[in-house]
Parts: sequence; structure tokens; C-alpha cells
Amino acid sequence: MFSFYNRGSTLLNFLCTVLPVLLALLACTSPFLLNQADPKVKINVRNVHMKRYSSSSTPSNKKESTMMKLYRYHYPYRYPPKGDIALIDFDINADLTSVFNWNVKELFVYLVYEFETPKQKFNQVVVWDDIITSKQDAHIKGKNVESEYLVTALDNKLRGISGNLTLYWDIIPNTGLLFQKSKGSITVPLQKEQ
Amino acid sequence: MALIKDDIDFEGQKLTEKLMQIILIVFGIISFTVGFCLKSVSISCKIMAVGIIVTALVILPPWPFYCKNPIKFLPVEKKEENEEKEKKSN
Repeated sequence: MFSFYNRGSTLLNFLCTVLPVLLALLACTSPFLLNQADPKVKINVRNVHMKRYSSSSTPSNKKESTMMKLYRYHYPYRYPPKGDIALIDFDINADLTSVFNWNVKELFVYLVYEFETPKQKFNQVVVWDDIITSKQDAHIKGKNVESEYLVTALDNKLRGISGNLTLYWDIIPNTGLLFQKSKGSITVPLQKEQ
Repeated sequence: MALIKDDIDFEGQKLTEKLMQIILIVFGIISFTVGFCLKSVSISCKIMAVGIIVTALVILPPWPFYCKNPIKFLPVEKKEENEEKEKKSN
């Protein structure tokens, strides 16, 4: 501690103890604050569009052409589609304001359709997602929202399948662990298309 | 740093270490509690930055109160001085 450099070095050394302790305390508060949060989620399905495609079929209305576009964009290696693809329209009213505490940087909110097919026991398809970066935007309201991603199965067979639509959100913290929570599960049968 | 006299005495060194730890820990506690109450990490970061600057200002420069107990050296013996003078005259 006798010279300028010596004192500066000791200061930086001690900072390397104080700042990590502060960050650890910050990370420790996160689970307690998240337990107090009480988000309200309400999802309501308006419409499920399902279509069985073969290589020769062409889209007959606007909805089907958007489905084709989405398929082409997300599965270019499997285009043109063969088998069933589905698109879900839904209403959402999710108040995630209480989830935001001081250790939340942003939320990644996504709707997941979970279903079971004879070949594959557990399937999860993300049909819609959103990134929330501030507390003001944390109340998500949407009416007749068209899902961003299609529902498809590994064996391309979706007929007579009924699954759950659930809202998940990943809580991205400033420091500490990333938590995933979910709420508002509803059962959505994929109807048969005549 | 030979251009400016930046060294402090032993008592001063003890004092700087104590002051540094006290100021940083107090600012840490304040920043955590204020940030928790106001629900903002950026406020606690700013308070901590102020704390670091204050600590640096207090401990880095060789303030006069760190140099109050200078080391007292023993006086130089006269015999050696005489011998050196003799050697020089020879």
C-alpha cells in the first residue's frame, strides 16, 4: 500500500470480491421474487385450419396460401408439403407485469402445442412467440392472432389428434439462473377437414 | 512514479486498507438495499460506481493525513564520517 500503483492494485483486488458478492445476492433474490409473482393468462382458440397436402395440391383460399408460404419458409428441404399441416388462430390475454422484478432483463413468451401421436409419445411445437423487454409491454393482448409457425408431426399425420396449448415464458435474468414457467393450458382438438 | 512523491508511512498504509474495505462494503450494502427497494439494478450499479470513485479518491492520492507518522531513522554515527573525510583527503 506504499505507492500509488500498489494502492490501485489492492482496490481492484478487493472490488473482485465485493462485486461478485453483490451479483450473487442479486441472483439469490430472483427465485423468491418470482414465487410472489401472480401472472394471469387466458388463451382462447378461435379456429384451427388443417389441410392434407399431396405434391399436386394447390392452395384454394388465402389461409391455405399463407400456410404454404409458412411451410416453404420454415421447411424448405421438405417443400412441397406432403401430409397434414395445421394453423391455429387464437385470442390471448396474458398479464405478465407481475413477473417483472429487478432481476429480469427480458421475457421470451411462446405458445406451445403439445400432442401425442401413435409413433411419437411427446411432441412440442412452438406456434407463436414474442419477446418482452419492458414492464410496460408485459400485458399481452391479442384478438384473432394468426400463429407464426405451423403445427406438423414427424410422420405428417395429424388427423384426430388432440393436444394442449400452453403459454410458456423464459425469464432471462440480469444475473443468475434462467427460469421457465408456464400457465394457461387448454385442450385443442385438431378437427378433420372435409 | 518517481516524479511525484506518492509513498505513505506504515500507519497510513494500515489506515488506507481499513478505509477502503469500510467504504466499499458500506456502498455495496447501500446499493443493494436501494436497488431492491426501487426495483432497479441500474440504480444500484450507479451507486456502486460512485462508491468505487469515492474509494479511489480517498485511498489513491498520498493525502497528508497518511504521512503523520514518518519513520525516525537513527542518527548517522560520526566516526564513519570522520573516516570518510580522511579517505577523501588522502
